[in-house]
Amino acid sequence: MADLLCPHCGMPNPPGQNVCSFCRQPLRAPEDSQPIRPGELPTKKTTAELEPVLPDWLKDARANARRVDADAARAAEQAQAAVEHLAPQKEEVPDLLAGLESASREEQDDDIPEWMRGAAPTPAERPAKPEKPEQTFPRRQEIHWGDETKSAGLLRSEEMGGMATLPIPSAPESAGLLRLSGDAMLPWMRGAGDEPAAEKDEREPSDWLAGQSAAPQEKPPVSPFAGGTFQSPSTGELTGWLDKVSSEAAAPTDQPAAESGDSVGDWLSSLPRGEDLPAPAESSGASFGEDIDLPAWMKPAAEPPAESKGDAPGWMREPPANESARLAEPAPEVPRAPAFVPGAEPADSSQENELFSIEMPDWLSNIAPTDQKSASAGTQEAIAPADLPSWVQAMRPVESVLLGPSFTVPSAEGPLEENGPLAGLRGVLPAAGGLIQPGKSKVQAIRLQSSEAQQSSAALLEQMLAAETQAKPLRGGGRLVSQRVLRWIISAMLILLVTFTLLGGSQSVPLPAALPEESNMLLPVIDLLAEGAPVLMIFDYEPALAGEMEAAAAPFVDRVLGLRRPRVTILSTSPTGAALAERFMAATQSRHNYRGGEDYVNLGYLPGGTAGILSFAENPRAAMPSSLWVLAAAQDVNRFSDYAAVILLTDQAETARAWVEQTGAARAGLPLLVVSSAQAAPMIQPYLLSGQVNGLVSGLRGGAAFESSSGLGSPVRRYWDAYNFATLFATLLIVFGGLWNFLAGARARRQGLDEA
Amino acid sequence: MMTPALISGIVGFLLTLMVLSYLIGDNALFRFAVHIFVGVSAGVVAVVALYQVILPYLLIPLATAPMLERGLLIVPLILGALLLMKMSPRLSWLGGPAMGYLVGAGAAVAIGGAVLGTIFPQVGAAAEPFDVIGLSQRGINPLPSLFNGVVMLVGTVGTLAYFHFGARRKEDGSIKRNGLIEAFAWVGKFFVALTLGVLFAGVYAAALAALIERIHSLLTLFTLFGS
Repeated sequence: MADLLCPHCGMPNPPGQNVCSFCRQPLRAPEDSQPIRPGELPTKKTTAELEPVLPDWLKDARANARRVDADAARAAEQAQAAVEHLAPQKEEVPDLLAGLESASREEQDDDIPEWMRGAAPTPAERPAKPEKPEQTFPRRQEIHWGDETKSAGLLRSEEMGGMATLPIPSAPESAGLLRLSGDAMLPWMRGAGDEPAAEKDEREPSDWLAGQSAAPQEKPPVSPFAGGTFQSPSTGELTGWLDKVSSEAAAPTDQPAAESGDSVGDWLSSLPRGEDLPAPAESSGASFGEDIDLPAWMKPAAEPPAESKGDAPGWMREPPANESARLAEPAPEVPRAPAFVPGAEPADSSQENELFSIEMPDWLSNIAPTDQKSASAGTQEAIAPADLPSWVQAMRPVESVLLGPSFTVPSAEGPLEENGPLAGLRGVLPAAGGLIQPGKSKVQAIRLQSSEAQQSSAALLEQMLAAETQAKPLRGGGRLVSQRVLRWIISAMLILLVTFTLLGGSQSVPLPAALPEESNMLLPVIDLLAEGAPVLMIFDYEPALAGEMEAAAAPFVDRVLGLRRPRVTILSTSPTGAALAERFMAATQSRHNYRGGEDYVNLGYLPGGTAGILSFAENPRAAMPSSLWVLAAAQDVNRFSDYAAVILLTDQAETARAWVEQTGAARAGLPLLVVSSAQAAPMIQPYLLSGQVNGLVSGLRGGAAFESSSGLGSPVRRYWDAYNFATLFATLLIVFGGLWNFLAGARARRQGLDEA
Repeated sequence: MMTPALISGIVGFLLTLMVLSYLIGDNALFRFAVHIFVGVSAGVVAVVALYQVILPYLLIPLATAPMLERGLLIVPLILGALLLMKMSPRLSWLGGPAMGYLVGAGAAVAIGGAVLGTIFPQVGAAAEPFDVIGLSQRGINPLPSLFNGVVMLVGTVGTLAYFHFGARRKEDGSIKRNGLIEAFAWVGKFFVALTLGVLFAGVYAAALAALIERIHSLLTLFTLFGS
């Protein structure tokens, strides 16, 4: 036969094995692997199959339960012997949870203080407790809040400050307490009501508690627990809540329940009272006994109160003298216990025996059978259905409870949950219905309380805001005229002016009569030049300004060449400078008949920028290695200082500054004459004033001044009228534009003042 | 008969019209003329660099110079080759040393020239008008020179104060410059405005001269056609 493959780890397992030997996971899927649907009854599970997957603590609990089962059976037989005639119908508790029951029982026994052990049966009566191994059990003993009997008799150990389960009076005597202790409340309500009360009792007993405690023994305790071996400590030893319990136990049963409710608060008093709750089911008495599994030592507590009176502590057995007479009287008729207190029936021995005969975890006892559906459940809005895995189905307490034919839970526990993971549980907090009070909400006054002054201020503010939102018409202003059109107009006027001036050949504007001061400084330098001396001429301007530079430099160069006929060496730090130099010499100096190689030599482009200038100033031949050095125009030049003068033609101030700076040391008194564009002249002026530049011809005006003195008919004469007319035109435009802006601004200011 | 002067004149006339068409806005003719200028300039520069830099400075010496000079020329050859690596983004880092050498050498030359050729001489020139005794000994009337010196001094200090933006916070929280600096800055504002005006006038004069020369060349061309 083929091995079974584990669906979890994939390892083979021998056939017939239910649990994987490797991963301890079940090898076979549950029969009903489909998740449970809301409203469906879960299928019965054999929970023993899940034992391998249980956690260790649960396994230990189960093992411990099995060990003590034999001992517990004896005690159970004794207890059942007393109630044999009742023949309780035990619900089959899942073996999975069996350990929890016994473990919690043992835990309770261990946690009982010595003073409370008197309430428990003697060791002889109790079954022999086997030696308990080291185990870790959940200390919380669940008490379902909806199970009145259990909640009346068993309180969670945690709420008791670590004490074990405490027997409290039975329902008739504790009717008022039950209302306070939250049996009719939701779990969170009970917790909220208990804790403050306990704290308050520890500090200063409240009035209502004092009133309750004032007659602690008006009536002998009728609780089966109180009549046992319970040795009540003094009041001071008990915690506050225990005092309250004791007081409630001893309180007269004829005390109106409303008093308790009033002393607690309105919110508690508004809770449904026992009279208002539905009547208990007929089977509630029987069911009460089925859902509790009391330890053996609590069994004698089920005896009639009369028997237990003898064992009651003195403070409980001996009522005050003034109460003796009233105690002797027959007890007044106790109001019928509410439906949710099934165990509150008068001491009926058969029912009481049945009460403790069931062997079931207390937390399971609060599960209501599925056949009892609350009427309100049908109207409750369905929760989104959820799919439960099979293992959750197996652990759900629904199955065991639903299948129980005789297990009934009072309907007062609350509506039965039909949907979701909590299907089958009772007393589940509703999503919102229980917390939100239906009805129309209280109408809150929203009318603003304001005085007349405030209202008038608000009206004024509203008027101001309304005025701000109104659009104001724009003030009349001049139409925006396109700048492009204005530019076209000015350009056309300027071009036409220059064109007609040049076409007419006008020479109406006289040339400058005298040289400017910076140009006048050139004359002594020219006069000092020797005949045929080598002169370095540098053409460092761009073709764009060639027209201006040629017109400005031509009269000056013509004068130099005409007077001394120097041998010229031409170079340029601009790649186009050599070509411009040839063009200049051919266009403006042709009348001097300068020939290349003999009268001038064009060395061309000097690379390196400022470094090249410095290099040339230090060693001209090394800086510009060329065969042209052997020509007659430059053959006697070996150093920079061999030149008689340096003439710089530039349109950039930076170029002039570079030549001034880099050749300062090499010149050593060598004159530097600069012919510059009009745009660079202002930046060269400081070097002229400092003596680093020995003369300056700036722009067309400087050239015209030399033209005036020489009268050679250079191009500057043809340009001079047009130049002056265009300059005048530009000046007039500037003045006119300034006046226009001034008047426009003044008119705008005046209009602003008028409007203001 | 189409002479070279006539052809160059026609080309110049067309290119001038294309450039002047920028008056009506950016257009294809203007861009075409600009592209031509850029292309021609690049071609000219390339030819100039080849024939006036690479050949005479590198290739010809490598072929004809003595061995020692050839060895020395390897350094600029390598640096020049590394500069070509700048064209490749992947290998541009190889041109770093050559570019660093160029920038470093250029900066050192420029700074040295500025200190020795501009700052020191200009400081001396600015202080010279206040040398009344020296001017008198040279037979120069010191008063006009002194006046010029004062004007230059006030203008220099005022311009420097105008570009001084340091200020202190006063007790009332306002931030204001020192009163003396504020006064000099107010004066320096006029000097700055005057300087900018002069520069603008120079630029306008240069541009106007160029315009006149272009129109004159166009008229000359028309004269040639007319004749």
